Amino acid sequence: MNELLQLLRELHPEVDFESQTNLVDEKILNSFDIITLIASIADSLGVTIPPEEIIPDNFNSTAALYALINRLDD
Amino acid sequence: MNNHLIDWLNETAKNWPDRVAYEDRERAMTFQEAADAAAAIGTALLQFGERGEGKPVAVLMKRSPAAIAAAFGVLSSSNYFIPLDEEMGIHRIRSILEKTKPAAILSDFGVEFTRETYGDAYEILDYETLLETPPDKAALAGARKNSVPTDPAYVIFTSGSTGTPKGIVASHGNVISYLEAAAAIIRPHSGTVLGLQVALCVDFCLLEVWFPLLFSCRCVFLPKEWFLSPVRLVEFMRETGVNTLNWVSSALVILSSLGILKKEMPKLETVIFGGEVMPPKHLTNWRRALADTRFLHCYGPTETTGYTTYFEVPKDFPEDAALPIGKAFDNARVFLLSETNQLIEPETAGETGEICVSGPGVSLGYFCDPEQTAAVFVQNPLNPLWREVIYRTGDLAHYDGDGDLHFLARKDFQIKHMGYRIDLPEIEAAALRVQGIEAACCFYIKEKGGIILYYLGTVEAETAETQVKALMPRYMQPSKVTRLDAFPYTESGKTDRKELLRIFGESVKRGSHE
Repeated sequence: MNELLQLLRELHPEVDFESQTNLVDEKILNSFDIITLIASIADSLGVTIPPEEIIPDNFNSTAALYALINRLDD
Repeated sequence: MNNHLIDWLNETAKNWPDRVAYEDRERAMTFQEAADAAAAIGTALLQFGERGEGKPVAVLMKRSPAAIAAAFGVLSSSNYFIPLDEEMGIHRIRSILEKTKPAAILSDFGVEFTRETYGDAYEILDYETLLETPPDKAALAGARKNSVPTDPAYVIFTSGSTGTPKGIVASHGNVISYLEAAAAIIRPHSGTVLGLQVALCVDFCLLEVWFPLLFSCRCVFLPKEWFLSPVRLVEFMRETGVNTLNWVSSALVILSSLGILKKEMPKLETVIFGGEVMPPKHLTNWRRALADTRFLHCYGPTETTGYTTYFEVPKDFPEDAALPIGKAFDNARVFLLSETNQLIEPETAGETGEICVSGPGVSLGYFCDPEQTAAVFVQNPLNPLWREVIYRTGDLAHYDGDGDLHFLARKDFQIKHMGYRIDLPEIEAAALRVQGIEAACCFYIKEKGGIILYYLGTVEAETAETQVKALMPRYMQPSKVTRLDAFPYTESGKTDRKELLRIFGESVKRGSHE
């Protein structure tokens, strides 16, 4: 979780990623942020996110993204 | 050949009344419906009496087929439209409205909401209400008769270096010449289905808006948010039969980066892309996924209406080769001038010059800005015999051994980011409006795809970042905002950009560019 938070903060230091639950819907993360995230999650955490999992629900909060990564990692 | 864009609408509606012209997730609009809507809106605008013809009308509509019909309505009344999009942000829309002082704002956001947001200085007309107007054929025919091909059709705004947006005025004739030249290269037909990716406030969308009328084909609005749900996007493209794309390069990069190209893609006839540099890795992904598709790399500043050059990527084009912007469309003469205004011949490969354009695509210049217009819409220095206006793009390029042009860089500090043209000084000017920021300097780091803003002042970086971002649309927002204790200066007293870039490079190496 901490590693993921760090990746997110590198992207947008001004955002409070622990409390936000509408990261995509409120356009805090745009498509380029998502691309960067997918690449850095693959690099740092060794988890590949397949296209069918790329939906706003999975990126709207740190918790949702964390859950996705854990699910894919199993 | 037509002399007025609306002639195409009326002709196609007569021949193919029930065929779908434009559709999005919610509704499909036939040619007849589009023509009827245009006639109703056009009549309503003409009934404004003194606001009559030849006036700017702002079109502030949601991204939908109705927005296109609204623009057609403005053209039917022989006024010209100013396309606005929510995405521009309130500040930018307000400054465009202040500059153009439109005779009316045509909106589907609700009259009250629009007035509260943009002020009560404007006549605000509700799109749905205007649709009820019984068409006055005689009045519309009269307005049509009074217009000539050199009359403006629209004003499209790009970012301006002084901090105020710059409006490019394009005539009916400009657009007609572009569409005919583009059709000869792109070769659309009645079975073409265009998948609209861009906003309606950029000249990119000319093909999606007008090809349906020229070829009785169809345009499908792709939902923007589905670029973040790529599987749904591709399914939607397949369901609606999209077979032609005209996308900014970065949209192609998104699908390629998200891994969707390895899945089943719809069969595409033609993919047109441009607006910014296309990374070779991603073009390769697309070409591998779609072996039978034509890929056209296009280039063109808004000042010359749509695209001006194209390069059809050959099947055997090397994957790591530099991608040319190619050769001129039929409606344009495109040539390079050296710093001393000498012609650089296509045979002299490798020599750098400024891209210059002449021909019927060259627009009418900047709205209410004779000074800026005179600076870049100039007499062709190679022609001493008659008046030949060329547009100096400020873009540097050279020829390769095949006589194809290659884009190199901007002459000034203008950049292309996410398909939008941005003047970095405009971001600096906006930053200086934030209290506590005393000096600002902006960079574009292409490899990182990011805009970096350095500033001097008393305000904390996080606060500065939030406040700067609130002043501009998403695509202009810097991805990093950093406070410095002092700027390096050159001997002549200007901010030393090279030194700042070096500082940025150092901070990236240390991994601490906060």
